[in-house]
Amino acid sequence: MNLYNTKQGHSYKISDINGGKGVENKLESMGIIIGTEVKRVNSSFSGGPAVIEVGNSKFALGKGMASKIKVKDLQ
Amino acid sequence: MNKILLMGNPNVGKSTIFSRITGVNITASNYPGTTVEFTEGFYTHKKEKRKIIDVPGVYTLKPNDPAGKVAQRMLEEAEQEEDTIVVNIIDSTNLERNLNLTLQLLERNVPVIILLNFWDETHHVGISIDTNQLEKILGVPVIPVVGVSGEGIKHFIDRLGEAENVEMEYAENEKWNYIGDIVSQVQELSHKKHSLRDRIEDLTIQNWSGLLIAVMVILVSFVIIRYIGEGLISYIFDPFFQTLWKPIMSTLSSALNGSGIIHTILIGELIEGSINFEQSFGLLTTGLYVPITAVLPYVFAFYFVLSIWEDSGYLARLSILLDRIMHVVGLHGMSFMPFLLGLGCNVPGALSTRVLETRKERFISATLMGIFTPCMAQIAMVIGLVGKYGIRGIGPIALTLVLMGIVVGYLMKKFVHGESPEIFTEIPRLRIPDLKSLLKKLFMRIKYFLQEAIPFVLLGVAIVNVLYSLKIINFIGQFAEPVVTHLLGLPSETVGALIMGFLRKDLAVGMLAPLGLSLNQLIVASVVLTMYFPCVATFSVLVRELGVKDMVKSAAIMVISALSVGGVLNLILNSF
Repeated sequence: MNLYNTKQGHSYKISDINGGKGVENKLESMGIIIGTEVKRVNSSFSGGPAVIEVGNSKFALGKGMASKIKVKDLQ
Repeated sequence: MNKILLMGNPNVGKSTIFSRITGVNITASNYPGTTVEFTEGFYTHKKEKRKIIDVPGVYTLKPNDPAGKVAQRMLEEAEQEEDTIVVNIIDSTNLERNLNLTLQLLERNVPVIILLNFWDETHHVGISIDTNQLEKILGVPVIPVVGVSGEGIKHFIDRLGEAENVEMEYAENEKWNYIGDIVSQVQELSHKKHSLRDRIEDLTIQNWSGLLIAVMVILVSFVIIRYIGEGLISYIFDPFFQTLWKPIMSTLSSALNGSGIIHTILIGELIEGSINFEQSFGLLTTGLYVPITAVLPYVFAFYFVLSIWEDSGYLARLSILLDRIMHVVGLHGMSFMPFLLGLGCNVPGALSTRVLETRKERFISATLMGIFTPCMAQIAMVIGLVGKYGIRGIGPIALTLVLMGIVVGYLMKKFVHGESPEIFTEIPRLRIPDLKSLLKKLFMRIKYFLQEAIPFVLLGVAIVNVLYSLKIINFIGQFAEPVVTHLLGLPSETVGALIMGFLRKDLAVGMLAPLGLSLNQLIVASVVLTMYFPCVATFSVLVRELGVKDMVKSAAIMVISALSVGGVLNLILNSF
């Protein structure tokens, strides 16, 4: 499953990131790496961004970037 | 002199701590060769003056964006200097993520001291951090503080001298494991309560509730801006000009015998035998009245509300909700900023396009901002002109600008080459803004407005007076008459206002006042004045930002869309 298709309120674990070095580095600098647990805050709406909670921070990611992040459901 | 660099991730409350320890003498400037802005100020302790620099917030020292490069260069300079201290500010509720930058700072050849900000919030989110243990592991002082209340700041100042330049060694590929190790040694988690604040934060982001809240926030903001703006004009600034300044000007006018070249330049024309601040058009009458009385109150009100949006963390939430709409014009949520800043003044709006990633984004946002975003100075004058018609006056103007902005933006998205990147940003927590840093920012913005506006307004008044007395405006008017009269349905005198629009949009709108235009003509004139060309200050920034070639394209889009929208609007309005 990719991060964009996740459900509001559910928690996930990142299993793979395949967006190229640029995307990986950006995510890494904010502490979002393989193994990080994330919680989906909003629901996907017509191509709008995905908002996730990591620790006590929230991040908004565009559809393209979120689709490149593979996750496992922790529910 | 000792220098102090405040460094940390974005949204860790750096600016609040900065305004707490600096005095009133602060300046914002661009780092040489960039448009990345940073603030510096001074702080005196035991007769020792230190310069304090608020470095742009970064997540990492690997520079992958303009702000990161500036932070990197400032740090490199600091390594060359003897006595510069780096103060690393950390969000205590996000220790793990923040330690990434901390480790990179500790590797460098500079003394470091660490502040754990938002210390009061740690127990709300169920975190307890052993600062002594963290000090031992990192080898530098670690001080818990609350930037907003000032708790811990004195302790921090006392320990500033203990900042240490340490050796830090770890394998790059093991970095996050190493950070995880540190965190597990110093941090204990208890159960996190889902507070009312968490609930509200989520509601502002989630689709439907977020949209509803956004509409309410925007409406309330408009009401507040109007209320403060009109209040300041009618109770303070206008009475001041009418009761104190007018007698002085009348005396001066009589001393100059009520006419002659000096009278025309300083006082302007007498309207029905007396000075009229809106119409006389002299340097000391209209030239001061327009920027100070008609415009400044609205600029102040706008920046006041904008600063609250920024400092409360709401602005980032609004950007996310607008992200979807911005895609229609080839932009994303964060590129909403140039438009919002442009509503205050187009110059900072144009400057802020530089932080956008691609050429396509910069071109679209700069052009759209230049065409469709009236600055607060212009809005204030338009409200003065058509405000008495209420929604029938303001409505069609706003609607035309928004709809045409979307249409032109969509066309640019289709035809401008290049990439449209996506949003990727941290959303800060919602917080009550710190009044002190809010006022400092507001003060800097107002100062900037006055420095920019008053000289241009005075110059504009002078030039228009010269052009009128040499009959140059009448001359140009004859050539422009077919377009202005037939296409736009405006009297040929409007040409004077259109020429003034290159210099100052607010003065240009002011020049429409004595022409006795009908409501339909006022609507067309206001829309065309907004769209046809940016003022000279914005234009010069746009040339620098876009380059001459792109600016020519951008200007062509502006003129063509202004004339076609104005023409069509004239037809539509007059067919009802």
